[in-house]
Amino acid sequence: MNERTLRTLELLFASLLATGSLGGACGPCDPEYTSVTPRLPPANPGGTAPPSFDPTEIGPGECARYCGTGYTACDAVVLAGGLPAVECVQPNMCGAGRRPRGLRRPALARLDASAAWLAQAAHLEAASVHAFERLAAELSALGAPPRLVARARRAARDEQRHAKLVGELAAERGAAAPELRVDAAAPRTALAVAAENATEGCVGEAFAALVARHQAIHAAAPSLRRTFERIARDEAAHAALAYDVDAWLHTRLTPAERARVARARARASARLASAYSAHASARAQLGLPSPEAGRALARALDEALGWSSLASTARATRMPSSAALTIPPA
Amino acid sequence: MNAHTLLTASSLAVLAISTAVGFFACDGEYVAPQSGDFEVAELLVSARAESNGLQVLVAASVGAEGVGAEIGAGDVLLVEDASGASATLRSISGGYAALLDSSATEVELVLRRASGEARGTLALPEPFALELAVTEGELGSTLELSWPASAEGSAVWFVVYGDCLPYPFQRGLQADVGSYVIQPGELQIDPNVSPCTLSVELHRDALATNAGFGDSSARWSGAQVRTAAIEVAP
Repeated sequence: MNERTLRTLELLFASLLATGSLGGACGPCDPEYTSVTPRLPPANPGGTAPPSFDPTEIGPGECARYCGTGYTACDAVVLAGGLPAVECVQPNMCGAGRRPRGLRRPALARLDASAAWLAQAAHLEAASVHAFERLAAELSALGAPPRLVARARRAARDEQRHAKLVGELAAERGAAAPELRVDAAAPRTALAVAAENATEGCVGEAFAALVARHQAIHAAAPSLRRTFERIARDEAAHAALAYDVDAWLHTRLTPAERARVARARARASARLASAYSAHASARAQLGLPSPEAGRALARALDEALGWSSLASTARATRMPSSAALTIPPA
Repeated sequence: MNAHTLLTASSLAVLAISTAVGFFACDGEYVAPQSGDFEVAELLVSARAESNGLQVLVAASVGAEGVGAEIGAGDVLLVEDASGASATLRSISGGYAALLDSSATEVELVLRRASGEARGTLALPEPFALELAVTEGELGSTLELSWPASAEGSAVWFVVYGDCLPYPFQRGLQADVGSYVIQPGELQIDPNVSPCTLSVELHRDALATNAGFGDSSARWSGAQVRTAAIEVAP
C-alpha cells in the first residue's frame, strides 16, 4: 500500500467535508432520472401468436421488464422514426464502486428508495470485484510491478466484503442485490486501461470514498455509519491505488495518450459534478449528500486535484505530497 | 513546484472560501465529446442488434477517451441490410437506436462522415419460432416452451412477464436444447389480476465480430427474440 497517497487522499476528504462544500447550488435538484429504452415489438413468425402490441400503451408487467430498479413511473413513448420505447423514471443514485466494462444494467422490483439504493450499491460493489480482477489481469499482462497487481487483487477482496456488507443492509430492508451480469471483454491496450482507470478509479472511486465518508458521519443508524466508515476507508485506498496505477501507466503512454487520459478524467469529473443526485428519503436514511452538496463536493474535488485545469494544459497528474496539505478549519 | 498537480495550503484556502460562498457556479456545463472530432479507430462503438423475425432493433453507444460521446460534428450512424433498407440511429438515453423493417439475419452498422464511411457487420443468431404447448393456462399448470434446438452455441434465456406477475421471471439455459418446462409454482401469479396475459420472450444471444469499426475491444452482439402469449385463468 502506498501510504503517502492514501494519507493524502484521506486528508483531502477530511478537508472537503470539513469545509462543508455546500456552496454552489446548481439549479433545481432532480432526485430522479429518466431513461428511455427502445422496445422491440413482440413477434413470432411461424410460432404461437405474440401478445397484442400498442406502442403507446404499456402495463405494469412490461414496465417491470424494462424499467427495473425501483422505478417510480413508466410510460410507453414513440420516438422519432416511429421507434417504440419505454420511458422509465427512477430514483437517482451516485453510488460507490468501480464499474467494469460490460456491466449489464440490473433489474430490480419496486422498492423504497433506501432499499433500492442499498441493493444497487451491493450490485455495484459486486461489479467492482470483476473490475479489480480484470485490472489485476490487465496490469499483469502489461508488465506492471507485482505490488500493483497484488493491490488490485486485494481491492477485489475488499469489494467482495463490501458487497456482502451492503447486501446484508439491503436484505434487512427487504431488498436483494440483482443478479450480476458482466460481459466478457477482450484484453486492452495501456491507453484503454489508463482511460478507464482515470475515470472509474481516479474520479469515481475518489468521489465514492468521499460520499462514503459523508455517509459514515451522517447516516441515521449506527450500523450504517459503521459500514460506511469501513467502506470509506477501503474506497480511499482504492482511489490511492488508481493514482498509483495512473502514475505507472503514464510511463507507458505517449504524451498524446497522456493528454487523452487527462481529458477523459476531466470529462468524467465534469459529468459527475453536473449529474450527482440522490433521492430525498434515501439521503436522510443513508446519510448521502444532498444533490447540491454532492455536486459541490465533486466540483471541489475536481478543483483540489486539478483535473480540469490539468486537462486543459494536457499534463499528467500525480497525487500531491501530503506535506503540501493543510486542513482548513471546519 | 513540480509540473504535476500540487494541492497546496493556498489552494485549499481558496477551496474553503469558494465552497463557503458558492463560488462554484453552474457555468461550465458538461459537454460530451463529438464523434466527428475523432478518428474512427479512436471511437469505442458498442452495438447490439435484436431481431423479432420481422424487424431489427439496433442500439449502439459511442465512447471516446473513456467517456460517452455524441454522434456529431458531421457524423451519421445508420443501420442497413443487404437489400439496401436503412434507418438512421437516433439519440436515446445516452445511446442511439433505430428499428429497421427487415427479416435479415445480418445487418451493417455504418458510420458516415464527409471523408468516407466505416462499416461493421452485426450478425444475428439462427432464427427460430417459439411454440407454447398451451395458449390458455390455469394457475398451477406447467408451461412448456419449445423451439428448434441449435448447435451454434448461442446463449439462450427467457423472461416471462405480465401484469399478474410481481416480478419478471427470468432463466438462462445451459444449452440451446429446444425446450423448457416452467414448473407449477415457479411463476408467482397474483390471482387477483384476472384476466392476465403473460408474455414469454425467448432470446438467442451471440457475440458478433466487430471487425474494423473503431476500437476492436467494443462489444458487439446479436440476438433473435421471439415472444408468445398465454392467457392465464384463475
